[in-house]
Amino acid sequence: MMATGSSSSQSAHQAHSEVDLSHFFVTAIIVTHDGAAWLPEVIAALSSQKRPIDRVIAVDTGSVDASAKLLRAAGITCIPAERDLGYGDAIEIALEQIPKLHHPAELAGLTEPADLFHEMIWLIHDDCAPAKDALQLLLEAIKDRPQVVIAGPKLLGWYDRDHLLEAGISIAPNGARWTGLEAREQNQGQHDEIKEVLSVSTAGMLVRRAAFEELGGLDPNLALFRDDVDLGWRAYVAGFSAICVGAASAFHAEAAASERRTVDVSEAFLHRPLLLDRRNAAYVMLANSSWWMVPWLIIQLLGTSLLRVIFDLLAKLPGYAGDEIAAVALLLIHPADLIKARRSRRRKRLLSPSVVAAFIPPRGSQIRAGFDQVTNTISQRLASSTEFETAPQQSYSDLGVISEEFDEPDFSLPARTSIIRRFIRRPDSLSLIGIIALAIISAHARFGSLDGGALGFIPTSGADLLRNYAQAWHLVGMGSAVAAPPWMAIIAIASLATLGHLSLFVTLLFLITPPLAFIIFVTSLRRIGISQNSSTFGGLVYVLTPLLWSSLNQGRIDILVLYLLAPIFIVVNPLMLSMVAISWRRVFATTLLISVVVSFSPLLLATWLIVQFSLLIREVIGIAGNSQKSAGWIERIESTVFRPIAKRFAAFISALLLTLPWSLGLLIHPTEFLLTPGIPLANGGTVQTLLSNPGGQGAPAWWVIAPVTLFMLFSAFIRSMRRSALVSAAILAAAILLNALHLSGHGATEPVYVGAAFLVISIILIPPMLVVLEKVTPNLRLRNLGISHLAIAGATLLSFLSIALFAGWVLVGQSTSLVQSDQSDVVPAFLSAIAQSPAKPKTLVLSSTPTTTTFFISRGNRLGLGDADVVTQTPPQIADAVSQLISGSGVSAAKTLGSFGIQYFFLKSPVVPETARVIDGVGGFTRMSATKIGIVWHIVGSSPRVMLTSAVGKNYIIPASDIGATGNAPETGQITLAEQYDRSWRLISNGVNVPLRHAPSGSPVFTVTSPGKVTILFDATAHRGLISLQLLTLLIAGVMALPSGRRRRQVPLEELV
Amino acid sequence: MRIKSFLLAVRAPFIIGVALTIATLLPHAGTLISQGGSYPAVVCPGALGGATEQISLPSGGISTRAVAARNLKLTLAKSRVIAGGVAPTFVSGNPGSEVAFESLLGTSTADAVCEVGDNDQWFIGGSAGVTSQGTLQIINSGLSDSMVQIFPYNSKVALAPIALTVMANSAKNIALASIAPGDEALALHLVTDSGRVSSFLLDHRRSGLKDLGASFVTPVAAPATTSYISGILASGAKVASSMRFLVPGNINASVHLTIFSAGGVLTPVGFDALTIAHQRVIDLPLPQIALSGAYGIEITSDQPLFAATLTRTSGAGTDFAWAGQLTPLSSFRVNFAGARAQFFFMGSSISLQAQWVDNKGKPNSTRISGSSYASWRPVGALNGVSFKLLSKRPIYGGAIVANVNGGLSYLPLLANQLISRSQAPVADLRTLARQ
Repeated sequence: MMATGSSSSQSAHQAHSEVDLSHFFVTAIIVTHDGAAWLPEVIAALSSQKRPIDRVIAVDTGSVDASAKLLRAAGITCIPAERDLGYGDAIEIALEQIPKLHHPAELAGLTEPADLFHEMIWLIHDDCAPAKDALQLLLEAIKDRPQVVIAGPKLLGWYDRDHLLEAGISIAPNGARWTGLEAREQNQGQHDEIKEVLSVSTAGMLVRRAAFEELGGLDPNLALFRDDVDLGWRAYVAGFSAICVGAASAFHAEAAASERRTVDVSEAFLHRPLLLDRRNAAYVMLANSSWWMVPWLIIQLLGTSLLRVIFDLLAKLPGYAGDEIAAVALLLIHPADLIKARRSRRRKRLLSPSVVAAFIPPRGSQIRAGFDQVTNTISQRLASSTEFETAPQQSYSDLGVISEEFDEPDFSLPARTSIIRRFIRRPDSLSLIGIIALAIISAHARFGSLDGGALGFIPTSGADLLRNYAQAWHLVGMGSAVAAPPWMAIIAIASLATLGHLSLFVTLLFLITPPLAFIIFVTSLRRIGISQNSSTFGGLVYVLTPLLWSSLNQGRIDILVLYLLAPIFIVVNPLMLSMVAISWRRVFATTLLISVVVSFSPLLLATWLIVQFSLLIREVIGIAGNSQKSAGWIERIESTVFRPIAKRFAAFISALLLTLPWSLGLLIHPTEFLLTPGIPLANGGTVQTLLSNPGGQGAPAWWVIAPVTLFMLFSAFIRSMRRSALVSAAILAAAILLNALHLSGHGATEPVYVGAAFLVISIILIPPMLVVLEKVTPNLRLRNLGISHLAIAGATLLSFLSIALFAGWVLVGQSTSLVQSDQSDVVPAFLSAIAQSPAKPKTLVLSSTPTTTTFFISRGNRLGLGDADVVTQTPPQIADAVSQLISGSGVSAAKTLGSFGIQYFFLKSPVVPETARVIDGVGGFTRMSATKIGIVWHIVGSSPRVMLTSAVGKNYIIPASDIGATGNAPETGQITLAEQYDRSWRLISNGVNVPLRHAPSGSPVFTVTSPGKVTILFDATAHRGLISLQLLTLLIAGVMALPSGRRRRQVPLEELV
Repeated sequence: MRIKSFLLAVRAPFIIGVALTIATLLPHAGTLISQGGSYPAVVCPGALGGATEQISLPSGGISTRAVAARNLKLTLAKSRVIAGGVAPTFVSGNPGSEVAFESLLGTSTADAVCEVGDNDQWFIGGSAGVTSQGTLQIINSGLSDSMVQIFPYNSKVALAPIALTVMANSAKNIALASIAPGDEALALHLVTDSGRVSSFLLDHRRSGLKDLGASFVTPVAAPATTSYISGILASGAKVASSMRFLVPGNINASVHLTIFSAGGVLTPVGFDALTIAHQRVIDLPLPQIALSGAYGIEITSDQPLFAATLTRTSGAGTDFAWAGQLTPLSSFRVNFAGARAQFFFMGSSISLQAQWVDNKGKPNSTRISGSSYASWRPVGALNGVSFKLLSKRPIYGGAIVANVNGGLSYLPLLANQLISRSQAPVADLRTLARQ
């Protein structure tokens, strides 16, 4: 049981067995405080020391257990003391009881001269049992080292006796207790040497009494914890030193530090050991360090405390977080103690405090230790989960049915095939290679910065996208105060994977989504026990769908992300139909995941919210009906029955808050739940929807039927799958109906895109279908040939045919991808450049074909990722003006467009000559250029973005930035802002807020009554408030979803020591 | 039990079936799109070569203005025939067609359908010879300056282009003789780089004091391998016709010509597999063939080409008229302002309804039909005439107009103000996107 530590110490003892230790007089002082659990072993360990202890005395600090009784029974003198007495004070009381030995004559049988006689005190904790040879080894080590006044054994765990707790201790600049050991380092004799250390624990500290008293003993301000380091530091500064004798060992339960007993010392505020530890750590650092180091140390201590507070909060340990704050506060509240302590140390100082610098760990070591701890924790978790998953199957010999030798060849070569061969032989690997090849071939036009389709221009940096998300006013069309969707922030943050290079991230996302989705889906299927072959088949069915490949061609980034996330729901139940068995942590983790998913699909958000709200109502009604009538609402709320409702409500409200302020906008305008992210695109009709094909450019023809559609067909006739088939059919029916609706939003009018519904159907249908196939197929051999044989064979054959057909389409049948790399800008470059001038002119871009004429307002910049999601309706005045202009009757079109700050009119190629002629013929448009990309006209008399019109009709330009404007108003008059009207526009004239008016044209107008400086800004207070609420919810949900930290008292002692 | 199992199995398909039915019954996307339509404004030529001009308007309530630098104000026309001035006339959009009737000295008359204009126009006709008094009028009815390029062709070669700027709301008259001095055979290609430009070419010839006649040359948008010229006055003792060809491409064309008339369908001698050299203006006289009334010509070739017919009358009513390639007839309404006319239609299946009002104000109606051609001559003078197509196949029509002073005019039945029906302009973000 003593293991390595004991054996090594035995060998060390044999080497020094001849050393004479008779000139040492050792007094062991045991301080007990409710230590009955460990005390018997401690007493036994002391009494069995090879080098006997000369005197043992104990101080019992008001134990409420049998500690005092045990001591007395062992014949040890026990001094009773107050329960709140500190450790140092207890030692002081003990020393007062044992007179100092000044001369050998005072002790019978000792003949050595007085200068060679050494009185030692051995401080023993009531939960620390030294090994038999501990004292002997300590004395042998200290014998030839006169400068050493403190020696201690290495401390091993009480339960795991190979667990190294300490081999000397020190203190880090941030106050952390520093042992220099790795987490759960095992004792293998690696620390068995004698080494100088800053200090050793008082749990087994052997100290020369004369020096101890000269140093003033343990600081009474350090009632518990860190008194050892403080003593060691003072010893060094006084010219002494301390050693750890590695060969000697003691087993320490660390009962106080591990919160196995209450800390009752008077200094321990609220009996919190962590608080006392942190306070004492700071005290030791500040009391012993050089004065010039104190400010820097304060900063370090405060910074570290703050970090610990954050981590404690993340680990849901608010008590520990409070301890961290209170520790620093306690010290700062009582600076007098610190000042006194520094004075007393200065009086006894012989050397500079920096003499201990060699023992103070460098700052990097702290970070390294923290990192090691994190990686250790993760690897342990992974190791434990892998252990569970990859536990070898028990053989018959394991079960004891047959002997191990039975039928075993005498000699067999280990069957080790090469990694490549093993990889190729696996069906999932082969399929993955095929999908990667398809993805690369499909992406031949998408290597580079992508643009087009639903995507829009991708900013280079993720920070730009994040900034766009956080902005309250968006520079799209006539401007928009619509909240940006949270998927923008998610994509921006995800681009950290490519070091913030957003365009690279999106390009990679488009390239790796098919193989990655395959891997995730197959892995998810494997986790629910589906075989490798079936999982591979399922993965192919999941990936080779019109939805995914049309999304790649059409730039539907939302579907790509959903494709990667959706397989998680094979394992995780997103609806949480019953909250009873779900933990709070699971509720928040699932809600966080759901929030990420629904950020990319308002349709899924609406569905999830409706389901959760319905379940909430059902649960509330259920409780209201079932609970006793006599019970009041408070009793009902406090009852355990209410808990599922609380969880449901938390999930519901969290999902809403996590997607703020976007979700608020959706609730105000519910039809926007039916819009999909990005620029609207034309999509397929009813027949294509029926076949789970979203349609549109870049999608396969309707006859390229996805295997999942066949699954749906067959599932209706499989009894065990009828529920899945019914739900899928309901979703498909809803999709067909929604697809028949035409919706205006995101800057265009198109049928509702229902791609997300197809994805949900895949997740609902594929796993149970594979389960059925796995169950039914082996039994087919036993049955007579029948319809089930034909059905299974038909389904499998058709599915494989469908997969092959789809792969063929990807290879040769794909039409041009809407998403292309490195596309040119739509608006001429010179208009983009002009748009940055102080007047901030806008350009109306018109696209005219013989059948359609469309227009939109450009602000010079390219239509970016996410811009479509914030677009608002173009003012009807502009639409009317364009309509009149195109019909040739728009004599006032130029005036109307100009009043909205539209200074240029661009007719995009291909130009319909009639349209150009009409614009040429209408007054107010002066042709500027005609190139192959289109014709540009300047609108005569158009307004700048911000214009002051004086009472006499004189116009002044107020220089404008992208959103606000600052300038000088030389006269009084009316300032018109050529932007969409919003109540948050503010104008401050000479420090006074000017009331906002709504002009008949629809623009915001301010009347300036005095000349002077004017500032126009968009007041984003409400938006910032909502974003803050979102972040706060994210923080809370994140903390709640993280694994909880355990209080030390919750950690099994075996795990700790 | 089996029935119950079956019913459970068909629940899912039933739900989908119901959804499909509802989706089918919902309004189709096309029906939701709002359509907008408008009639463009047209421009009539100014009185050229000292002519007097009358402009017939198809209906009341039409506004006009002169295309002159400072004049932008439209005035409501008080009658259906207004006097045209030297400056061209801008006529506001309406569903009918306006015609400019010009009378020159003697019996010379020239009629032109007022036009919207085009960025690319070809004039196959006119002369720059010694008798030429012809004028090319380029009208910029827009409010910004226009850039126009003229690419002339003569009987030998394609001449150097001429570039010119026409100021906003103004017109420029260019004498044909100055474009290709001395050349009898002329063809012009006008390309408008910018602006709202309408062009008219008046071929007016005079020998000394004797007026030889005048005619507007109908502009054509593009060459074709199959062309129709309809409504040519039959040849006779005082009537002679000739063909003018231009192959704008780089390969000579092999041409076949077929005449459709009440006397039968025939190909004149020498006009079967006739080779026409490219990029030259080729004039070929049509042989004297005894035909009655009006006739039409179908020209087929292996290369896209332009073709026009010049018909000359001599004697008391000396005049000439250019008839150019036609485009398919659409519903058409015009005011003949008391002139007499004979209409000739071509097409594989001709069927249309004609309604007219005679000069006494009496409304009449008739149905015109034929398999490859049809001719119609209303009795008496005409005022308003409208044609409504009853056949879906293309019909080509032209009219020989006999003016009061006896001159010969040709009027192609080309609706100048076709409604430009398109989807109403809609704000669409995708205008700014690459899709």
